[in-house]
Amino acid sequence: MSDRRVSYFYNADVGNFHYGAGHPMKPQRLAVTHSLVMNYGLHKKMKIYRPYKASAQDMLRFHSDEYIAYLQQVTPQNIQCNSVAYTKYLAHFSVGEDCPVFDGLFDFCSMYTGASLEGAQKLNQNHSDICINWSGGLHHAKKFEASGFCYVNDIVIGILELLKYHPRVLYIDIDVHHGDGVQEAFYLTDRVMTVSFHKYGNYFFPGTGDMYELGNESGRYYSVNVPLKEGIDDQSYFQVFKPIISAVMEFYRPTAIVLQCGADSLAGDRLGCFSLSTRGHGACVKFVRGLNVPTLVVGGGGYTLRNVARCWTHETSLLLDQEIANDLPVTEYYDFFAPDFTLHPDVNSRQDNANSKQYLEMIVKHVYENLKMCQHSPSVQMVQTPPDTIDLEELRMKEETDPDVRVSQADEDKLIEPKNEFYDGDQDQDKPDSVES
Amino acid sequence: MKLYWAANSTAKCILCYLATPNGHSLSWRGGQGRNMEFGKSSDQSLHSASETSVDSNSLLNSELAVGRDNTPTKRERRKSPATSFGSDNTSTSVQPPMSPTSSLADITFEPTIDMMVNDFDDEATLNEEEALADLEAHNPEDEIATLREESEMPIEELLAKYSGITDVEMPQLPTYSSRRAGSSRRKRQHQEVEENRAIAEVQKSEPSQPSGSGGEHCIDLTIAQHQVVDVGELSNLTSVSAHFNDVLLETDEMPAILPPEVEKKHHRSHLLDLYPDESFGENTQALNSLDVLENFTPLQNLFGDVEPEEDEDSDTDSDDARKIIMVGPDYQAEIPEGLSQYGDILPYENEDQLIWEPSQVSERAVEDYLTKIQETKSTAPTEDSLTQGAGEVDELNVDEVATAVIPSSTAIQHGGTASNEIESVVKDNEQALHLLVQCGYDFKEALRRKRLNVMPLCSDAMSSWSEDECQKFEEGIQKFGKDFYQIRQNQVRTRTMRELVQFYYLWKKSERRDQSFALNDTIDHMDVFINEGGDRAGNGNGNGSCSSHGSSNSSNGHGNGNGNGEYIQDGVTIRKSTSKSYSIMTGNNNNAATASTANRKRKGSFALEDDEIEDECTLADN
Repeated sequence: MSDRRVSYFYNADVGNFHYGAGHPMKPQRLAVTHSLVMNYGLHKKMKIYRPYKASAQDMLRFHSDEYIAYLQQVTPQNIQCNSVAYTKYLAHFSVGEDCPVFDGLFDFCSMYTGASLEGAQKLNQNHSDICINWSGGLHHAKKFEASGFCYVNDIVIGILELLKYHPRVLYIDIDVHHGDGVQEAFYLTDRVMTVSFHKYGNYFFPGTGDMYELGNESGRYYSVNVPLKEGIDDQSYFQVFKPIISAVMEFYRPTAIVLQCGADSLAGDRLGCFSLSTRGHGACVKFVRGLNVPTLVVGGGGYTLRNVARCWTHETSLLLDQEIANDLPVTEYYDFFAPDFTLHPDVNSRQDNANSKQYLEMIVKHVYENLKMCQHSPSVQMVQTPPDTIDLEELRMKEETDPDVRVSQADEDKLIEPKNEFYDGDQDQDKPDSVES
Repeated sequence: MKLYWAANSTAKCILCYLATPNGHSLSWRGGQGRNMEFGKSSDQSLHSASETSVDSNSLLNSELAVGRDNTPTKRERRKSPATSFGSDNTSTSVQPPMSPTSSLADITFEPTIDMMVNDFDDEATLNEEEALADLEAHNPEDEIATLREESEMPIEELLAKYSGITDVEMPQLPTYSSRRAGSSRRKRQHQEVEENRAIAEVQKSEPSQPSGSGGEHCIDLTIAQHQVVDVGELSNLTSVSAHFNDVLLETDEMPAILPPEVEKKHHRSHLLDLYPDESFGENTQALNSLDVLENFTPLQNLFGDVEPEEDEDSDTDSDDARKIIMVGPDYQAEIPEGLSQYGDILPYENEDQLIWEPSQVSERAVEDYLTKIQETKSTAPTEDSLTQGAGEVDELNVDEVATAVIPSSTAIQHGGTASNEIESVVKDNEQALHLLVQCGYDFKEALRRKRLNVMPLCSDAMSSWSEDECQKFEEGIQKFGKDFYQIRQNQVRTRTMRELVQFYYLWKKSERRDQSFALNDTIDHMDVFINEGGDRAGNGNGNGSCSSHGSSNSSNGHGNGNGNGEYIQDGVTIRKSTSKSYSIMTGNNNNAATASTANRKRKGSFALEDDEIEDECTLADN
């Protein structure tokens, strides 16, 4: 597996929001995840960006302006004041119980949206092969309304950005909930294929995701839904995931992938009902990485804080192709991981796997039959993309070029250190380090 | 259609049956709140049937075949009504019906994907079937006796017995004759003697039929009508299928054996006797009105043009409030045409910041650098009055803050060894890395700046909390729970909301929190615990916290301070918090309509809670 350039986006503030007492969505999980990632030393293999915040203008690429204007203005205070103008819209935009108005709501949205947008841009400009934004992945948000803890759909906005350069974008969703917002946004187009693996039935949120939702018009067969039942384990999940994604790659041949890694499909999630381990969840991520397509990796659900942090840290390491120890490094959040303090705690789910082998086989077969229908259709014109007029990052490098230096800085930057490189560069003469502890 | 489907009464289901070819299955579901499996599977059979023949009879036959396919046990069930009616000479009714499509019926049952997706489970149906069978089991003899008695009765008496209703119904029902035709089978079973009279009578009423309907249609309607009667009377569709087959066998001879209306009435009253009033009286009333409605339904609506799919869609809409993917400009994203490229201006207003890029320098050099940075800190701690956010809170807390201000559990646990750890474990430090990037990977410059305390990202790093702030914060938590806005307004005005949230998470796992709550034991204490909800990660973090927890419990009168009591309490709080039921949690707030749904919902959420408790307990056990 070739080394892939990885960029990681994290805004130190994004974790410090609070949805309200008792609300299962805890942005702090992002801070815990980041702390683990850093303390595992994973920064050594990736670029870290503090992403810019998305503007309202960015959000308007997908959302309606009334809705975004509302998100910008609403605060817990002007709702409490019972000013009719705000409360009236509460129901209209589905903001309320599930999606409360909390302090800094719009800031929060612009942070995670900006990160996804920037990730997409880095992929477009080929500055990275994999971009990671664990704060993103809010896949339920609709054009006109909030839904399922999601306000602004950063995935849709990110995909729209990718569509500037990529004729076909594949969206994969391994959240326990159906990725309805993204599917709906691209329901009529063949330029985005959405594939969602989720719990379906018994009115499990959001209630969509039947396998007969295939897309419509030119998007028919470009929405793929894999309804699963509760208690699915690692082996069964991968037994479904691998053949379906392989088939999607074969028939659709996407040029970019967006992978939503909702961690509520893990065992023991407060809201989920699957029985995946962090390893099983990560196996899907690893598989997608192995496809060697530019990939934007985003977070999503995940409501048992400690497991979310474990899962996404593990997946960061997989995306970097780095082995990390099972024992967690000491961080300020160390006590969240009691009592085992390990990255891969044992899964002891009492949930029986309700997915029979026969059922899973039928689902895979059904999906495969539908995928065959779009074999010849992707109707995106294969126009040669003219190069960017200016590549800013390229320019930045070129300025530093010094004709007297044999290996210019810019050239050196492009060299990715191979894993078996034992020398620290041209200057490393293998002298004993003077400052060894 | 919708209207009737929404309700559960058998009579209403009958309408479904008559209006759609797959009504059989729909009405089946009607009582149970499930509809998908049967609806779809019978559609399939119906389609296959309609390929071979457009004859509505065969459609009905396939209907029966479906019934048999889906619920193999129906066969048993079917025998009981048959025996109850089969008096002396009609052995055919006891045997499994021989319909023209019996080959179709013999196909082995295989669940469709739909059935599997929607948790197809025959158990419920079986149970209901068996319950019904039990209900009927005790009365066949009774019924036969009644029938026999009535068969020996002179026709005049019978007429007198039932005349009232007949007169009322006659003018209202243009196809009344066919209804009586439908009852012919039973007539033949019990009272062959009277057949001749019956024919005469029917012929008399024949003209009241709509002029347009041909013989074939007449038979079709007969079947339909017949079924209405049966369904209503038996409130059991299984027996209907049995009757149905019999009728189908007889349709050829139909014109010759039209029975007297009395017979039908007789049958109805008889069953009224058999079933308890409360379960049945209503249905027959509804049935009557339905009959009227029914007779004005055009034939093609009954068997021809109705698209089962449509019905199902509308059913699920009205029944489930099931969400569907919406289509329209209000829902879909606008996809840019073709490909484009960025113009001169990047599409973003706010610049991003590169915090760290690894490829510029070697890992080892960075590690050296970070070690030096840490040395800088430990040798000159007084310079660092700022806590540096994520990566550094540990050390700084240990060095300067923790002892006086935040005795976080991390600090306590690792405080003793912290100074050693700094030496051995290279801590990764985002700020220091960023500094290095800013200095163009010049290690010396970065270290120099570090010493001068020129830190980047100062603005968003969290400065350490004073003891006063901590106390105020704790008071706030007790007063307002996790309402950080209130805490900020009333307690800790010196901090931003962001800082409060961050502090909360660092504080909640700390010993300080345990201690403070052990001291100030109030009702609020419990509230906070409740608010905590499911994200408590157990309390296995060191002995100190456990003991303080225990004492708080015992002073509250909950548990006795040992581990078990404590975790049971956790379980309770978790249950409370999950019962808040966000719709994303269970997804079915909106649906308490059918009992079965409600049950499932409850089951689901119990499972959820159990899991949580399980989770917490396993953590506790270790």
